[in-house]
Amino acid sequence: MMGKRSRLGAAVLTTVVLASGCAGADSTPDVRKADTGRKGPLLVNILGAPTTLDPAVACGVNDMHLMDNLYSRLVDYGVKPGPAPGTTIFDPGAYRPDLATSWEIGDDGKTYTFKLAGGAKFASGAPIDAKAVKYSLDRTLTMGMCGKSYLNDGYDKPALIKKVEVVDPATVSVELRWPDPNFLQALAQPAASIVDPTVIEAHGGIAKGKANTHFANNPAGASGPFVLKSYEPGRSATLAANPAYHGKRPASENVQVNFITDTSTLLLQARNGKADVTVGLSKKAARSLEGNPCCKVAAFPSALSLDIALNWRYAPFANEKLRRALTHAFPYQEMLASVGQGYGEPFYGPMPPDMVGYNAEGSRQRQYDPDLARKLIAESGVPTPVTFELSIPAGQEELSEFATAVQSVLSKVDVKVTVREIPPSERAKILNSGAYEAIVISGGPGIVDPGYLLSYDMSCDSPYNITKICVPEADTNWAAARQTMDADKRQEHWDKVTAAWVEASPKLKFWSVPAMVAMDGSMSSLHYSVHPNFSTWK
Amino acid sequence: MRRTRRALLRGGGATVAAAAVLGLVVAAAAAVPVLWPHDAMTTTFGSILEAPSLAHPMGTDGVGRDVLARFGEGARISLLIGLVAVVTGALAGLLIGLTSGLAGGAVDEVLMRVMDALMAFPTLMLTMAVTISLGSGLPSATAGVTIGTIPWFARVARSETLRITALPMVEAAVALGMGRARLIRAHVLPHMVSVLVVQATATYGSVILSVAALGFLGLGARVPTPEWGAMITEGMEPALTGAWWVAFFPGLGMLIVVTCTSVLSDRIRDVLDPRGSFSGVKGVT
Repeated sequence: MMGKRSRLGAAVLTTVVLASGCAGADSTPDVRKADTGRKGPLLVNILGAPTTLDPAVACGVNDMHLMDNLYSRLVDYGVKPGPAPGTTIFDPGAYRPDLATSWEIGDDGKTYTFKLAGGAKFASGAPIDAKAVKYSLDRTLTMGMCGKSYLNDGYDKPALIKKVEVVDPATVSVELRWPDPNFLQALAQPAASIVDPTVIEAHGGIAKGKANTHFANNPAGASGPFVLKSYEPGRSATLAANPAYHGKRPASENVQVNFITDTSTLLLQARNGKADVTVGLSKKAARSLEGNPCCKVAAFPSALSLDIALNWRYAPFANEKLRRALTHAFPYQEMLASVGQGYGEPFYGPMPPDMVGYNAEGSRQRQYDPDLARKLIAESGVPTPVTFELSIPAGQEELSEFATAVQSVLSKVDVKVTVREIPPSERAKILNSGAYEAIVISGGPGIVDPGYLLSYDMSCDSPYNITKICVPEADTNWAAARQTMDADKRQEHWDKVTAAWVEASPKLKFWSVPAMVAMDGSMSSLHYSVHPNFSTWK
Repeated sequence: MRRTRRALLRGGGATVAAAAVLGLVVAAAAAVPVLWPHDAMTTTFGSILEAPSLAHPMGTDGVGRDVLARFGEGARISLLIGLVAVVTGALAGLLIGLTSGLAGGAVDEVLMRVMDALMAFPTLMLTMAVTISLGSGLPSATAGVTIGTIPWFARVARSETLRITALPMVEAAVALGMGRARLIRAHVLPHMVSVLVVQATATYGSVILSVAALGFLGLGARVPTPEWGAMITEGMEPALTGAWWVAFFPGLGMLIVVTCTSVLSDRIRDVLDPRGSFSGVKGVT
């Protein structure tokens, strides 16, 4: 037990620290900023830390922080103008060459043939040729980790990719088991990174169904714009321009990346000018920085959305009228303006506004009508007060506030919500086992495409369908859309998916969640991608 | 009794001020949830993070809830949990200490080694371990901090039992055939009460801090319960964006309660033990 003086000290310290703006939260290294003319490295503070540097193993969004900087792929996402001057954003509906200078898709939609840029080399000096491409893709497929799922565009059993073949040293082809119009996007994922076979073979090679632990903290060669100069797992990484890179030399020669897990520290560092770019700010933090001379704030549209997944295994949520009632209980615009700080776009549909296939007309936000909500609850036959437990990830203040707002709003329509905070370590287990009634999800798919998103968010037969949503008509059209090569016909299927999904009111949708980035005033160029690539940042 | 009360108040301005301020916090805990027009749980989307004003003297939080209403509700929770934990811990510790002191031998050895084992862990670690194993929430947090207080009461109760039973008058009473139950009632407990009271007041502040620490770490109160530690967590980011009031007032509340109970426990010790024989009591210097 603490002594009396310690107690007094602790109490005084608590108050003083809080009153002074929690200055103690700032513990990341202050590498500079000795000069704002950026003679030193570009400083990037980013929320979360990668758990691996191996593209075949990388799973979550944090794992992707360095991937596109260290490795090239055959193709990359397209580019479109960003929300602020000097910024651009990735376009998931278009592709541009990376290592492949051109590609052809067979008439049957099952064969993709890529022509490689001649003379490309890894940082080691080894050639990036068709053999290296085949080696890299086969490695990801053989290891069977998350990368395999991404590379197969979410198709699991059987896998989408039948075989990868070397046609000649500058040509590689990929044969699919069925047509997939979204396959180029699968190849734009970090999972399709081209790794250096000489480096892999020097450190244990490839083992089937097994990760090579060496590459958790060491790069598998470098085919991308940067090489890794130093790496402190969970803390920081230093990147330097890759002299052997086949593309345009990075705008900043050196980049220091700090991985920060606490949003308060992220804000504090941005506000104090300790970062040139800050990625992952909370909405409230971003709003507080607007107008601050420290930074320019940009909200990049993304395919993430804020949802409440209703578990259909929980009896009341199998009732369509109750689900529909809940969708009418929320004052969405007021909630977005306050809890969401005005960042985001309200919608009600299976896919968010910034995704291919989105139907704006069919995905209009549900109308706030508490009287209708009460009427539908009464008609649903579910005894009142309706009760359910809403799970949220522990330690995420934004989601905690959101859950509080949900609790307060639903109490007005005789729905009693209790909030349960689940530790990050248990989240996956709870989701997969279905041991929840409703859960707040602020996120989106690894592959920005409705085919991939709905494979785990709606598909009736998928083992990854965490909420057990099953809307047969939407399901049929989803399956058809995934294999329709013609863009117009595919959109027709997506429109039918949207209509059937909306009719079934399977979950609660609030708004799309943009990615918040704060830039130092001196930043002149930044391209935002779901997998950050620092090569244009300066 | 009246003499003791007078002696307590003779302690000077600090004692009177501490009693008065603590009284105000207790009054706030009792009155605010009943009399204040704003509810601690009701969100108002149109008035988030409003600075202190006449309408909201402690401002509003990130979802537009009145911080004063939550402060009052939080005071009630903190003071009540402190009381429950200290009383329960004192009773359990007293039972263990009495048993250990009176039984002696193997019983004493076993009980005291168990208490030593509990005391070997830093208190916050012990309370966290208990809370995590029971599942986060206020009841678990209360159980955690209560278990953390038991060894301290048990140690004091045992040493007092040994001291009191060695007194000549008690030895004489035993020689004349006084039974164990009567011995406890007539001699041990009356002589032990004052030192336990000092121990309890000294523990009260740290229990409140421990509960707040658990709340701060997300192991205490569940959303949206307005426990002070959880309120400080909620106010961390707003504090960085300029909305200092969300975390400041619950922090201030803790400072006041802990300071006042420390001053009062000091004075109680001076009054009940003018010769300083309680110097071994935890928290008393």
